[in-house]
Amino acid sequence: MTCADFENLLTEYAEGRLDRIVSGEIEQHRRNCPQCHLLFQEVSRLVDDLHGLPEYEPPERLVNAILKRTSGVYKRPSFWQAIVVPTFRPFLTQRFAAATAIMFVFLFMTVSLIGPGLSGVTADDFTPRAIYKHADNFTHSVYHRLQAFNQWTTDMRAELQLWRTDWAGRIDYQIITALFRVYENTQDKQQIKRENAPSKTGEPESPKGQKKEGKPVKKSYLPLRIPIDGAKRYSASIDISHGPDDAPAETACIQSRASHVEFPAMFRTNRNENVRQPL
Amino acid sequence: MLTGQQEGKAQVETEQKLAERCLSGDPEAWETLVRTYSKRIYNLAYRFTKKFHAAEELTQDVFVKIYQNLGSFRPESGSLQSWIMRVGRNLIIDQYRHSHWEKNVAGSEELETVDFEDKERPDSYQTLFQREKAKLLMDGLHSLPEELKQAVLLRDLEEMTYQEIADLLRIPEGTVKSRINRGRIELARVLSHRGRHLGFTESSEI
Repeated sequence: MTCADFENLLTEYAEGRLDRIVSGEIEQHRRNCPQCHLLFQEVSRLVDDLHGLPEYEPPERLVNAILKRTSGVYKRPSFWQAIVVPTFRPFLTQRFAAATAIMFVFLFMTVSLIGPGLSGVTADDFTPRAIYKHADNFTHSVYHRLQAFNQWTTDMRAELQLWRTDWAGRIDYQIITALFRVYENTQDKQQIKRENAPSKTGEPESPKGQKKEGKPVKKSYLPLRIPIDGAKRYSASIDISHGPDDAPAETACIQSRASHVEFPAMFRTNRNENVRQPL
Repeated sequence: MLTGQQEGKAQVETEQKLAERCLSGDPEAWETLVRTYSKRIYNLAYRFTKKFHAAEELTQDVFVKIYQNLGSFRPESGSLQSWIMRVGRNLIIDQYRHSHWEKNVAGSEELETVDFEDKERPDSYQTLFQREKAKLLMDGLHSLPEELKQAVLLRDLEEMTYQEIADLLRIPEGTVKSRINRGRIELARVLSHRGRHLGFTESSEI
């Protein structure tokens, strides 16, 4: 038996698939050839190692991705699973727990060294009246902040509800207010110009103003393009007609191109109105 | 008390029920099935690709295929698990034949972090050593020629029989045998060479 023969029969020998005569020959060769003996040992160890290879845990997103691609049922991970566990998991290991503990100790030391000391406190602060005053101030400040916060959340919720139920109308509203702001701005500027112009030149009445008064209706056209998140471009125009004496606008018509634009799903409704009627 | 045979029978019945519920469109049953078997498929794919992201994609593809072909599962011809694994192996090896992962990502190998799955657990020297050893084994395995690597993988990691491997790869059983033999010897040589190079010796067994 040569070393090449030994190699060729190695696996079958190791798995006990050879008859007695051949395996006897192999045993013989193994005893006499240290290299082949070493190879046999290494291969046996390798097979053991391969059997003991660790299995990896698939990430949670894998199951969700599969479900999404197959049954279409995507199970949203719970708040606990998605936020709390990944956030606090690092702190649950020994190393991080130790680090956190050390951090707290240092924080405590720092605060006790440079934090608010008791030197500024006098006996007057402990009179019932002073205590009541401080407590009252504190309570009031907390109460007002809470109220402001409540107001803010209510406003935001209402705004969100408006967007959700009528996003097209809400966009129109935003555009109209923006347009009016621009319009008012130009009007203000013109007003300032008009006020300044006579004082500079000394003329009591400009010919332009007379011309304008002669016309019954002036039409100003304000095109405006407002890019909105989720849409490439959202263009709208507004026609404002007003009377001879710069009366407030009577009609404002806005044409929205909402149906041509992809909007985020939260704004999507069943409404399909292209042209909105005059306000 | 249940005997082994009865247990096996009960297992087959529950598998059959699970498959039936999946076919009838029960999303919970399907989720159970995915959760139960995705780990094995994922590990199989990882061992073939040595890339976690490729393993994820492959696992998804496998389950899409299982979802489409669940109707063709016959409980009398084998258990659900072996059917799923068969589908998985077939698809992974098929993909393997057609794609050129190794060539495409040969340069990006360094970017892959092998151990990010285990980051949560604290490292002891033991786990570090095991991880290093596993990495060494996987690297060695993937340095083998394709056909040797497949044979060793299917035999020693997936623990398939010669006959199953022969059927899967569509080659004669004798070829399977010689490939496994050659693959093991080559791998042992590669590893002993690298192990010596890295300072792993005979005595550093854990």
